[in-house]
Order: sequence, then C-alpha cells, then structure tokens
Amino acid sequence: MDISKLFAIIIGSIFINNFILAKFLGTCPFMGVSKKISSSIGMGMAVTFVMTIASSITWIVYNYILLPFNLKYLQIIAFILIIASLVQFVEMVIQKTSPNLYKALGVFLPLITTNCAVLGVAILNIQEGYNFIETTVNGFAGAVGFSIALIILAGIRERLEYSEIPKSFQGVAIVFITAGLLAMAFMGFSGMKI
Amino acid sequence: MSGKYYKEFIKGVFKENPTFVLLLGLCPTLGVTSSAINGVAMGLATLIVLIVSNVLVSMIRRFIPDKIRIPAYVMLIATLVTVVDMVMHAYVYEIYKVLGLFIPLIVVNCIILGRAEAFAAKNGVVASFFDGLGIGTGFTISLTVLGMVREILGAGKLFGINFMEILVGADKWQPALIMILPPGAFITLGFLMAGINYIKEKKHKEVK
Amino acid sequence: MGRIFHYAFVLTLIAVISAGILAYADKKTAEPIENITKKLENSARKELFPDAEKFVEKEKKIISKIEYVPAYNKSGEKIGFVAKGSENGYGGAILFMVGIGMDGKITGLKIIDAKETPGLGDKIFLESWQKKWIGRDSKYEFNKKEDAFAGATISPTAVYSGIKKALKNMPVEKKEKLNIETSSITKESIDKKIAEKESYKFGNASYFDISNNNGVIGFFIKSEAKGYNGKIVFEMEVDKAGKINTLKITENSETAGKVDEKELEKWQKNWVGRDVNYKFDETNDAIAGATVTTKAVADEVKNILTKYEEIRKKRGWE
Repeated sequence: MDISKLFAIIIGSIFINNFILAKFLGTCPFMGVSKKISSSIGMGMAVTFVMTIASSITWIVYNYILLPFNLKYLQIIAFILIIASLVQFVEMVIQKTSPNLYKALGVFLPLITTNCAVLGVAILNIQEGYNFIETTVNGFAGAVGFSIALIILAGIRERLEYSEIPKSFQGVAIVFITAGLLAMAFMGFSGMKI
Repeated sequence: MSGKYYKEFIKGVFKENPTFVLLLGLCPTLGVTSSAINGVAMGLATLIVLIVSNVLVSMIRRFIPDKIRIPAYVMLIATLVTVVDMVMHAYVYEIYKVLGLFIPLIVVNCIILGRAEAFAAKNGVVASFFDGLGIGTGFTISLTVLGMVREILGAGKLFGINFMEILVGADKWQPALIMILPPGAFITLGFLMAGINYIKEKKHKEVK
Repeated sequence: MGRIFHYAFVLTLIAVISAGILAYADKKTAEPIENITKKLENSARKELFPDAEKFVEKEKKIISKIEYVPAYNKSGEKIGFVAKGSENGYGGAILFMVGIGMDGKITGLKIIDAKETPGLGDKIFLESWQKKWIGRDSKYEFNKKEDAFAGATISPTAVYSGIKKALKNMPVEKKEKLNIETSSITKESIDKKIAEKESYKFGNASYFDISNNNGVIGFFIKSEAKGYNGKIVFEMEVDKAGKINTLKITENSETAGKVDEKELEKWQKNWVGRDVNYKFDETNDAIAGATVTTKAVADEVKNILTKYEEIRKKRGWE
C-alpha cells in the first residue's frame, strides 16, 4: 500500500486538480446550488457519498466484468446505469432510514446522476489505472474538493447579495466571474510537490 | 410548413440558447473552449448526438412506458455517445485526443437528456429533428464564440492561425495566458453573459 | 405484476439492442483504432531514427517502467533503442520518447503528451528545445541556463530526469567478466552462486553453472588428471567467452617437496585469461621438476576447454 501515492491523490484531487475549478466537472450544480451555504453543504455531502461509492462499484464492474469478458466498449453505458441505479437506491435507503437526512439531502440526489463529476471521476479512475483503494480515495477526495469549492462560492455569493453589482452583471454573470477568481486562487496550488 | 420548423430551429440559437439562456451543458462549455476549433468540434459532436437522440426518442416515444422512460433514454444516449466516441477515435484521432474525457461526458450533458424529456418525448420526429438541430447549433455557436475569445486573448491565434505573430512579429506580443487556463473560461463566460444581459436590457428599454 | 414484467422487458430489450449495436461498432472500429495508434507511434519513432527500417515490438523490454524497442536499419543491424517513458512534471505525467543510439547517445527526443502550463512549461513541445538534446548521453548534467525556460524549470527538469533514467537503464549486452578477486574457488562467493547439481559431466569433468542476478555467467568445473603419483584434482572457472578465470589444484599426491608452493601458485595464475586456442608450451609452461604433473593438468584443461566450446555454441555464447 503506497501511502504517499494516496496522499498525493488526496491533495491532488482536492486542491491542485480541483474537480470544478481545474477540471470543470460538476459545473451545472455548481452554479445552481451555490446560492446558499446550507444547500451547498447538503449537496456536498450527497455528492461525496455518491461519488465515493460510485467510484468503487464502477471500478469493480470494469475490472471484474467488463475487462475479463472483453466488453470494454460497454464502459459508458454500464457506468451511467450503475450511477443512476446507485442514486435511486441511495435515495430509497436514506428515505427509509433517516427522514431527517432525506429532508436535507433528498432533493439534490436526482441531480447527481447528471453531475458530470461522478461519471467523469469513474472514467478518470480507470484511465489513471488506479487500484481499488486508490480509486475509492480519488472518488472521495474529488468530491471533497467539489464540496469545498461549492461552499466557498456559496459563502461569497451570500456576501455578494449585499453588494452593488452593475445591472448587466447581476445574476449568473457575476457568479461566473467570481468562480473564475476562485479558480485563479486555486491555481496557486499547482506546482505543489508532494 | 417550413415556417413552423424554422421557428423550432431558430429558437435554439437565440431565445433558448442552451449556454447563455438555459445554462445547460456548462461542463464542456468551459472545459474544451481553449481554442475556437475545439469549441467547434465539441459543438458538432454534441449536435450530432442531440439530433440522433431527439429523432430516436421521438420515434419510440409511444412504446416506452412512462415510468421507465429515463433509464430507457439514458441507455439510448449512452449507446449513441459510445458509438460517436469510437468513430472519433478511429477517424479523427487528433480531435479525439483534444476533447478527451468530455466526449463520454456528453452522456451527462443535461442538454441531451433535457431535450429528450422536454421535447422529443412529446413531439413528432421532424419537429424533434429541428429542435435538436436548433439547440445543437446554438450550442456550437456559443462554444465557438467562447473559444474564439479565449484563443484570441489567450494565445494570439484564431483557428490556429497565429495572427498576432503575423501582425506584430514573433516575440513582440505576450498573450494573456490566463485566458486559456481554467480561470479564463469562467471569466470569459461571465463577461459574455454580462454583455448579453446588457444588450437585452437595451432592447427592453427601446421597446418601452 | 404484469406492468413490472412489461417494464423489465422493454428495458432489457433496449439493453440488448444497445449492447448489440455497440458490439458491432466496436468490431468495426477496432482495426482503424489500432492502425492509428500504431501509425502514430511508428512515425514518432521514425523521427528519432530516420535510418531505421523497422522497430521490432516483439523484442520490447521494460526496465524500470521504461519501454525499450530496438530499431534496426536496412542491413538488419541494431542501431539503437526507442525508449518510451513517463515522468511527473508540473501538471501531471509527461509522456516522452527518446531515441538512443548503440553508443548511448541521444538521437532524438519527442514529447508525446503533457499537460504543462501553456506558454511556460509547454515549451518542451518546441522542436528547437527537443533538438538540443541530440548527441547528449547519460553523463550530461542539466544546465539551467541552457535547458530551462524563464519562469518554468519544473517541466524541462522532469523531462531531463526521464531521459537520464532512460539512458541509464538501456539494455546493453555487457561482457561478464568474473572478478579475479572474488572468484576464489569457494562455493560461497559474493554475488555469484554455483549450482548445487552439475549440469554436465564429460569424462572426469563435472560442469556446474555459475550465475548471478543477470543469469548464467560461466561454469565451475571440477576435474581430475592423472599425475605422476595418482590423480590430481583441480577446479577451474570459465566465463561465457571461453576464457579461464581461475584455476586451482586442490588435491594431489605428487612428489611432495618437489613442487614449490609459490611456483605452483604462479603457474595457476598464468592460466587466467587463456582459452581453448592456447598452445601449451613444454618449456615455458612446465614447472621444473614437475613436468608430468603440469602437463597432465594442462592436457585435461585442454580437453575441458574443447568440450566447453561445444557447450558455448549450444548456449549461443559465441
């Protein structure tokens, strides 16, 4: 078990190659959910949960079903079905076991299926050739990075509500520019040698 | 007859432009527009998938029970995207490499599933075709515009032609590199949206 | 209940049709895809070795995670290796190919894939920078002024590390010479192991494999010759080139006192480096007062070496 590689994956996926700010995965919910900090936290938790499990399951399916049977071309369709089913399943489980948690997260879950970040990280894990542990860690770290960026942006947006913004920039425009500045800040992490 | 379809087409380009109005498909919009030609390529790939998906969904819409339509459409789109991915890998390898991860991500491009759900499932084949054509074209135009701005400011080139070098001479001009890096994508899109808002505002004022 | 069946049926039908379409598309595009990758790789290799006629993938060796593929020219000569490796740069892994001639010098460098910072680190893609490396070898030290870019040192340094690793690990057939100091004829020696069981036995001679980490490097041979007063047991080590590395007489019942210890040692040492072509000289190679002994040993050594030539031929050690 290469601990230093795992550490590199974690720092890499959270800061250096942040899934939204550097890789552009998960931008849709990024814009839509970041209006309030509370919803951002909820979305972040849901995404983390789904992405970690999805990474593991897709890895297992790829390496133990698709590869041995020479079915690599079914990767996309298999992965998306797994993710959709997983989200459906998770939603049912949370609904049954913890109504409180469901109230907090429930509405975000269906959105996660089309979150490019989940499918994106699943494909990336295979591309990078990670083993099972590395895959799960990468899924988790990527989601954490996504959540951090989301919460920071929400924090800034809540503050922006009290600022005077030129009319043309009101709405989505200023959010994009803010995200750009945030991305610039995160660029400072690149070149970090682990 | 053609008027009706023309309406479906043109709405996708302006009134219901997926990028600037509907805010759909943002991932590839930001991810592959570091140059104009990349924007064009991504747009076209998405356009093809969108049209075929819309047409197919429209064709089978009466045979798919309502409860399972989402997984059914998803499988259809996923198959389509996989085929596009394979074909691009085999025949246009250079572009395939540049677009990379974002080709399979067309599957989760909210535009495709969104249009299938909102339009193709409820309309005829021809209408769905034009709807897909319109939205896809609007998407391609948005990507190309974004790509052009970023390429000009960030690399001094347009469609690969190093025009700044031609105009001013090599080494005499330093492009704003940030524009072709991730922050540049966000910022460019933000300014473009502000610009569009401004134009809309002016139009409103004129009407008043 | 029937509804669920209907749903399951429709979904399965779609799934099966989809899988069928994909299988078909996969088959149709598999060949063009393979051709494209091969074509690109070969054209990249050709840029590194313009004189090469072919690159034999089957002889690919992977050492320290670097792939080495040999390049052959029209006459079938090996003119070098194309080394493909990956090194972590500023923005991730940098995939590169470097051509190394048989003399250990770089014939060309090509950066295949990298995500370095545009305008800064991605200058490693510039042909002018890549050309600088031609002619350098593993002894070259990275020169910041020459080889780095203003504001970007990590990318070019990473490429340098990768190239250095590729140069250092290049597969070269080294002639294994058994070190005289360490090859005293004991069964326990540093680095080399003598096989427990003999590989061959011809006449009185038993041949034991000597191997180290790289494989078999020679033979340890134990034999006996008929001397003046009985048998003379001796041991020798020969290398792959057919040369004697050591010779030691371990047992003899020759006339005691007749043979001076120092003389015998010198005589044994003289055999080092000789091979089957050596002609025993009665006057110079005999020890005064022990001509029969020395001739006996010499004759047996000649027999052994002659037989050894056959073994060498069989093993392809010519």
